Amino acid sequence: MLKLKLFKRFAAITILFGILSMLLGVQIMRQRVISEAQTRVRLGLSSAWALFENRQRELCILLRLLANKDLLLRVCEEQRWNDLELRSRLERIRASFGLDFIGLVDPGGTVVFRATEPYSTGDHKTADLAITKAFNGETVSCVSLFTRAQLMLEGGGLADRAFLELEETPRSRRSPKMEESRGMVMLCAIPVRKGPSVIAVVYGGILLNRNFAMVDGIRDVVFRDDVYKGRQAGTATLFLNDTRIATTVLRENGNRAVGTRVSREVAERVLDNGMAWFGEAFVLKDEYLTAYEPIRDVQDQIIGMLYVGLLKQPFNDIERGIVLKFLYISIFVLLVALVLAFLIAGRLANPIHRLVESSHHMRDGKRPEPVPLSGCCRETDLLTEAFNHMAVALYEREEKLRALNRSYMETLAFVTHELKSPIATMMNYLYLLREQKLGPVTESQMKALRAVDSGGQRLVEMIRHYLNLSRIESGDYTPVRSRVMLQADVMAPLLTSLEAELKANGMCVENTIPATLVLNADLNMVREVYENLLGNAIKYGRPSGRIRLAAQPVNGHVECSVWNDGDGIAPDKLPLLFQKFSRLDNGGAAQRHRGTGLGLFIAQHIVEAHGGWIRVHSSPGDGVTFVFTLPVQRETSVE
Amino acid sequence: MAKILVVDDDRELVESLTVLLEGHGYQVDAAFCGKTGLQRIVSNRPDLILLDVMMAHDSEGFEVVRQLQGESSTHGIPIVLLTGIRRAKKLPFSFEPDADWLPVKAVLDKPVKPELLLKTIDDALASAVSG
Repeated sequence: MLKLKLFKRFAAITILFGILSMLLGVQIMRQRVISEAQTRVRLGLSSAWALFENRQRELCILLRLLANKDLLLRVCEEQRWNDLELRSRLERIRASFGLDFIGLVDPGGTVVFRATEPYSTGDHKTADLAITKAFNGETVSCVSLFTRAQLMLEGGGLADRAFLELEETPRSRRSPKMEESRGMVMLCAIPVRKGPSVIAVVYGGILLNRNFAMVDGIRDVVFRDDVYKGRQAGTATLFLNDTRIATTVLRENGNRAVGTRVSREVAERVLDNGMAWFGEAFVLKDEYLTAYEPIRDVQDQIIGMLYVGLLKQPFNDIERGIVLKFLYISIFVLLVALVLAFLIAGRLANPIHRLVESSHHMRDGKRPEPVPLSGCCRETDLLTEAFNHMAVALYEREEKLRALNRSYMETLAFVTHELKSPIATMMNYLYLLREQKLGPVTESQMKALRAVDSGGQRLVEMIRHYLNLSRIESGDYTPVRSRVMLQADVMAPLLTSLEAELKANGMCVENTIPATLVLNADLNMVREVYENLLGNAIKYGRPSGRIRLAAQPVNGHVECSVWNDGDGIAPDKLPLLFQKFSRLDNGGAAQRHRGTGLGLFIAQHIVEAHGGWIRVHSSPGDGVTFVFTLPVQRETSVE
Repeated sequence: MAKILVVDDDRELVESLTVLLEGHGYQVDAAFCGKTGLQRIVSNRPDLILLDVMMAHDSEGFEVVRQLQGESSTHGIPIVLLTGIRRAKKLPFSFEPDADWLPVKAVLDKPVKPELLLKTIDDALASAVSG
């Protein structure tokens, strides 16, 4: 069906493009959602750095103010390092500004003052590049690593605060180290000047290990609003090398995940290669969108990392939501497209459908109805119009031909009808001559008479056949049924009229048709059937052969048969027998007797018009049998 | 010797039938239309009438049959219809001998074989005599 075919193609194309656009759309949306989020994280790291550096700047400002304090200048000038007033003042300032340590170094590199218990002095900071630089007049602000011993000297329990037990972390680099005793400090060193010369260096700093205020502050500023299922989705962490020393990341038990370590990939990229990491990474066991950058000390050595990250799950959820919405819309649009495709296929196919229907109509010989124009497209309308013109033209031509044929058939019928009387006259005289009623006839005259007689028989047969053909062609050769005694009404007169011919051919007829058999059929038609079949049997039968006639009631009809012991007919020719104007050209008898080629055609028409069938059986050596059925008379009362 | 009246508008056919029937031992009278045929029947009283259905008018033969049937004097005369009509015309009935509608002895198709014609006439006369 054209409509279905068109729809299938439309649908295939629509679905193909629909799926392609969906896949593409989903891909683009996913990338957009994640890349937007990743951009936020990257910006978040910049903010984190700004906060970190801000804290360093604050530290510097505070120490610079201290370096210009009269009290400090005086103490340094007079080298009165044990000044109690200075100690108490600086200790108060340190505590109120959140510094973990403050100290003074004399030009010899010896720490001469500390404002943190136990106020130890006398150790050397000559190896500390920051202090050295400060003695050269620079203001130094940096991040630095202090050993446990250094932290102990700085006092205030910093060494203990800094101490971390390391934990095995999935995805991290393997390390035999079990603990981290060093501390990462935010350090500032300021020269104390008297005139052009530096008379001391004041330094101070903040320990970053376990400095949760710092990371919480960063997290709050950068990711304040990112909450997922009641927990903060944003995280910030300070790393000493690959170890978390201060973090907002929590363990499952709710404790901060200090002492855990970063994943191997990040460590390799950031710590080993000094590059930033932006992208997805595992933080403990969750997937995060992350940003890591190295933290460098005053010698530009990488000593740790600053990290911010956002839990990826919320973005997955958003992404899924958007993708689902997009898919719903796409499927809806696809369905609409399919419905449209169906309608369009219908619009395209319908006119063609109607054309096909109309052509079937025409094939059945009915008058063609004009196919209405669909108006769906110009081409089909043109086709429909052309078809309509053609249909009318064809029908008119056919009508003309039919009329012509009808008048031809009528003429044929008229002419053949008019032949009847003259032929009857001829036949009468022929009979009289043959029977020598008009005087004696010589042997050669008799031969000529027989030839004329046989010609006359053929003429009679032709008249009958052509009259019947004209009636069949004009469609009014329909049976008028009556009660027909097959033996008395049909066979007896027929055999009488064929007597001479049978005798001439030396043939004998075995007639076993029961005298009581009564048909409900058209008498003339039944006669016609037998006339044709018997005529054939005589013509094509073996000279001096036999013809057998039989009939018996079978299942509500009468099965009749006409058999002759002729040569038989080739099996491939059998179906041709009943065709109009068919003459079998099998040598022998057929060429001796030229018939009209209509006898069996007419017989078949008659039998079928009575609702029966006619068949022919033939096998070499077994003769030819025609079998046909005719309706039996129901109320067979024996007379 | 039985008398047969042949009624047909084809003179040559009538002539040939006359010769044929006379040769077969019948006395033959002829008429070439229905009207004269009826006169001859009344005047000559034939033993059998051989009648063509389609003469000048399509149904002339039928009318002859009806009229003969109507008159008591001619009622019993056997009639054999000789016709070319029944296959040429589209008659809405089976054109067969019928006691009420077509009270004739036999209907024969033109051109009938002389053998069949003679046998039919013999049979009709025999049954008329016995009946």
